[in-house]
Amino acid sequence: MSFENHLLTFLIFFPLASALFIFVLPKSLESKVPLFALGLSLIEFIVSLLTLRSFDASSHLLQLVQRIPWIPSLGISFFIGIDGISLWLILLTTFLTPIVIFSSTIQHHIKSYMACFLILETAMIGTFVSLDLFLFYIFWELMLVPMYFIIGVWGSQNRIYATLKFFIYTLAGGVCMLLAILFLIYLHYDQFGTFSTSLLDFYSLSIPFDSHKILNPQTLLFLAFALAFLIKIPAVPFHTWLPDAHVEAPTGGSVILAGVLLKMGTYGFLRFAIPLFPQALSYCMPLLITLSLGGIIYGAFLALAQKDLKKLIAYSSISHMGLILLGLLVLNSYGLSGSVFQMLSHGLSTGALFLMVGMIYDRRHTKEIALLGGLTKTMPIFATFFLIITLASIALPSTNGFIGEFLILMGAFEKNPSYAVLGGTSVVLGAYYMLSMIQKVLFGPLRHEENKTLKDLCWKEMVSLIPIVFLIFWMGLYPKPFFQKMEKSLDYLASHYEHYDLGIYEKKQ
Amino acid sequence: MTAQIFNLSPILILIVTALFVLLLDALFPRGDKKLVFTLSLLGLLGSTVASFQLWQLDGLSLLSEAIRVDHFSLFFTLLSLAITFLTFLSAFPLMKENKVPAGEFSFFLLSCCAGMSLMAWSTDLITLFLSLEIMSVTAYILTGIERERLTSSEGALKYFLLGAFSTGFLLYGIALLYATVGSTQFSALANYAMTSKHSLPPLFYTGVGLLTVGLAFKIAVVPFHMWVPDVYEGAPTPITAFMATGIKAVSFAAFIRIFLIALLSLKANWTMILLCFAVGTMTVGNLAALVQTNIKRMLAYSSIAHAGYIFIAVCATTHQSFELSTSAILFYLIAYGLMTLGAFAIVTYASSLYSKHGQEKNMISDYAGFGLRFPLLGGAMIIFMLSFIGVPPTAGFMGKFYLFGSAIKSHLFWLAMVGILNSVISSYYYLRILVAFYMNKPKETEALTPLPLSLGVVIFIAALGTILIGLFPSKIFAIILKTVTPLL
Repeated sequence: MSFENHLLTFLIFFPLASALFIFVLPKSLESKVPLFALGLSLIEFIVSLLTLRSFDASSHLLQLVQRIPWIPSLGISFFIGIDGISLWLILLTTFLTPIVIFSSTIQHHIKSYMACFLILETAMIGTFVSLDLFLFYIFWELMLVPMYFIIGVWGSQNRIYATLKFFIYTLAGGVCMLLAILFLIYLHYDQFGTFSTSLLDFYSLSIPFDSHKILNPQTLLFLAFALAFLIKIPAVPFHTWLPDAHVEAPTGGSVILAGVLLKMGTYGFLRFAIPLFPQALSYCMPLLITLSLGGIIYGAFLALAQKDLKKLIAYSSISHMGLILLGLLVLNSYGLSGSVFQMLSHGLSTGALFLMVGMIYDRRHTKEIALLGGLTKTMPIFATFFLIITLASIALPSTNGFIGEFLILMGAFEKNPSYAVLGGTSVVLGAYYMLSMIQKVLFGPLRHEENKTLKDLCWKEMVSLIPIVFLIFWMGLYPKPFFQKMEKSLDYLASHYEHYDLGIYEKKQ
Repeated sequence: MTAQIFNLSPILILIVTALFVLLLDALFPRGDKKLVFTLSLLGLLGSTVASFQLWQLDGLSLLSEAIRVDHFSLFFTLLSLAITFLTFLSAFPLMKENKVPAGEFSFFLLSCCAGMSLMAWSTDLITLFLSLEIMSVTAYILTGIERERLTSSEGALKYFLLGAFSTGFLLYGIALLYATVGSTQFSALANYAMTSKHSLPPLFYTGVGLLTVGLAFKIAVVPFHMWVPDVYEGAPTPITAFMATGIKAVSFAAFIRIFLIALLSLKANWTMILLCFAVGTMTVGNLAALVQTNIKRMLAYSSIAHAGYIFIAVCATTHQSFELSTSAILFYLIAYGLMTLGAFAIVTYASSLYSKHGQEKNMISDYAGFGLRFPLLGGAMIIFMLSFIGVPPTAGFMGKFYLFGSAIKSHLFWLAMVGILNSVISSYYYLRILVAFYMNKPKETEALTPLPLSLGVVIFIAALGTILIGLFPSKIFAIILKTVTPLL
C-alpha cells in the first residue's frame, strides 16, 4: 500500500536521479555510460509496469494519488495521480525511452546525451501525472530544456535554427497558459476565498461565460490553454516548427518528439481544456474542427510533396495528429477511445519509422528519397521491418493503426458524417504517400552505386525494433486489454464533460 | 544617544570599515591586499549581524523622522550587504592582479553600500538626496576604477555627466515639493496629498514629476536608460553586476517609499505614465538586447527589460493589492539579483580567459564551446539563462509568477500579456548565449587559468540560490510579506 502511494513519485524522480548519477560517473567508466543509461531506463520501465497491476480498471477515478503541500500560501501542492488516460501515456514514455537509449549511435558527449533523455523522461512523466496546474506547468516547460539541447547539440546542419524555433514556439504557447492559470488561481480565490491550484478544485469553478460576447473570460481562458496545446500537437497553422525540429533532431530526439511530446498536446485537451471550459469548447468547436480537418488534409498534401524521408514522416505526423484531435473533439466514446488508442499507436509506429530512417541515415548519410531505391535487394531484413511499420502507419487491418483510425472515423461519423468523409481522406492520402515512398525506397532497381554495398540490420537494431513490431500486432489483433483499462475514464469524460468532477479513488479493503 | 547609535549601527559599521581600509591602504601601500579584502568582508559581516539585531524591533523613526528603521529598510540593507559581499568576492581576482587599487576599491564599494542602505532607510527627501549622492558618486568612481582600460573611463565620464544631470532634476523636484508642502518628510507629503485631494497645485505635480525622473534614471527606465549600455560595458564586470542589482534594487526601495506608500493616493492620476514606463522599458530593453553581439551590452539591455517587468507590479499596486504587489517586487529583486550576479561572475571569468593586452573580449562568439569545456560553469549558466527567461523551476520563474499574478489580481490583463510576450522575445537572446556555449564549434584552445575560488563561490551561491528559491519560495515570500504588510 505504501509503495503504491509512492509509485508515481518514484517514476518521476528515478530518471532524474539516474541522470545525475550518469553525470557524476568517473571518466574511467565513460565507455559504459550507454549501458548504465539503458539499465536504469529499463528499471524505470519495469517499475512502470507495476502501475498496470495496481490500476483498478473498474473505476474512472484518480488512482495512485499522492499529495504533498508545496507552496501552501498559494495552495500549490505536489499532487499527482493517474486515470485510464494517463496510464498508457506513461507506459508509452517508459517504453520508448530505453529503446531510444539502446539504439543511440551518438559519438560525442554521450554522457550528456543520455542524461538529457533521462531528464526528458522525468518531465514527460511529470506532465502526464500532474493534477496540480502549477506542477503541470513546471513539467511542461521543463520538458523544453533537454529537448532544446538534444536538437541543438546533437542535431544536423541547421540545428540551431530548428531548436530555437522549437523552443520559442512552445514557450509562447506555454506562457499564455501560465497567464490563464494565474487567472484561474485568482478566480478560485474570489469564489472560494482560498488559494488553490489543484485541478480538482478548478473543475468545480464556475467560470463566467457569455455566448453573446467573443471576449468573455471562459473563451479567452480556453483559447489560452488551447493555443499551448495546439502548438504542441501541432495543428495547422502552428505546425511549422515540427518539420524543422524533426529534420534537424538526432534520431532519438525525433522518436521521442513524435512518440511522446506531441501527445502532450492532445492529452492537455483531454485533461484540461475540455473538462475545464466545456461551454467555451462548444462555442469554439467550429474553429477547432476546422483546424483539425485542415491539419489532416494539409499535412497529407504536404507529405505528398516531400523529397526528404524525415520531412515526409513529419508531415504525416501532422496529418495523423489532426485525426487524433478530431477524435477528441467529437466527444463520444468511440472518438475518444480511438483517439487515445491512436495516440499510442502513432507513438509506436512513427517512433519506429524515425528509428528506421536513422538506420538508413547511419549507412547512407542521406535522407533523400531519390537517392535510395531497391533496398530490398541489399537489405531484406530492413525492408521487411520498414514495410510492416509503414503498413501500421497507414492503418492496415490487423495492425494497431487500423483500430485507432477506424474508431476515430466511426466517432466522427456519429457526430457528423461529413467530418468522417473529410477525415477519411487522411487514410486515402496516407496510403498514397506512404506506399509511393515505400516503392521508391525499397523497390525498383538499385540505381545508385552506393546502395549496392549497404549492410543489413545488425542484431542490435533488430532488438530495438522487435518490441515495437510485437506491440503493433498485439494492439492490432487483440486490443481489448488496452481499451479495458481506459474505457471507464473515457466513458466518463464523454458523458460528463460538461460537469466534469473527478474524485480520488479509495481502494476497497 | 547610545540607543540611536545602536539603531544606526549597520550603516556606521560600514562607514567605519570603509575609512579604516582606506587608511590602512594609505599607510601600508605595499601591504597585503588580502588584509584589506578580509577586513572589508568582516565589516560587511558586522553590519549584517547588526541588521539582524535590529530585526527584532518594530518600526522606529530616527533623527526627527529623517530615517526609519523597519523590516523594509533592513530587508534592503541585508540585500545590499549580500550583493556587496558577492561583488567583493567577484572582484577579488581583479584586486589580486592589481587591475584595480584594492584600498580605494574597497572604500568606495563599502561607502556605496552604506549609501544604498541609507537610501532604503530614508523617509525624508533630504536624506534621500544625500544617500542617493553617496551611492551615485561612489558608483561613478567605481565605474572608472580600471584606469588602464579606455572604455572604463569613458563609461565613468558618461555616467557622471548624465547622472549629475539627473540628480539636478531630482534636487529641483525636491525644492518644488518643499515649496508647496513646506516640509521634506514623506509623511508630510502623504498628508498633503491626502487632505487636499482636489486642489493640488501644478507645482506639486511638477515636483513629483521631476522626482520621478531622478529615480527613473537610477532604475534605468525607458526613456532614461541611454547611459546603461555604455556604462555597463565599460565598468569592471563585477561592478556592472553590482550596479545592475544593488543600485537598481535600492532605487526601487526609494520608489516604493515615495510613490507606492506616501503618494499612493495620487497613483490613479499618473497610472498612464507608469504603464508607459512598464511597457516601454520591457519592450525597448528586450528588442535592443536582441541585436547585441557583446554579452555585457546584452545583459545591460536585459537588466533594463527586467526593471520593466518589475514595473508591472508597480502599476498593479493599489490599496487592495499593496502587499501582494510590493512583495512581488521585493521577491523579484532577490531573484534577479542572484541570477544577474551569477551570470556576470561567469562573464568575469570568461573574459579574463579570452582577454589579451588589457582589452576585454566579451563578444558572444568568443564564448563558443565554453559550456562543453567547463561543464559545471556551463550548467550554472544554463540555470541563470533559464531563470532570466522564466523557465521553472528557477527563481526567475517564481518571480515572474508573482509579478504577473499581481497584474492579474489588479485586472491588468493586457499588461500581463505584454509581459508574457516580452518573456518570449527575451528567450531568443538568452538562448543564443546557450547556443554559443554548447552548440557552436569551439575555437582553438588556449592555456587556461583555473577558476579563482572566490568567483567559484559566487557562482555556486547564485546557482544554488536560484534553484532553491525557485523550488521553495514559500519561506522567503512569507518573510517578505511580513516586511511589507506594516508599511501601509
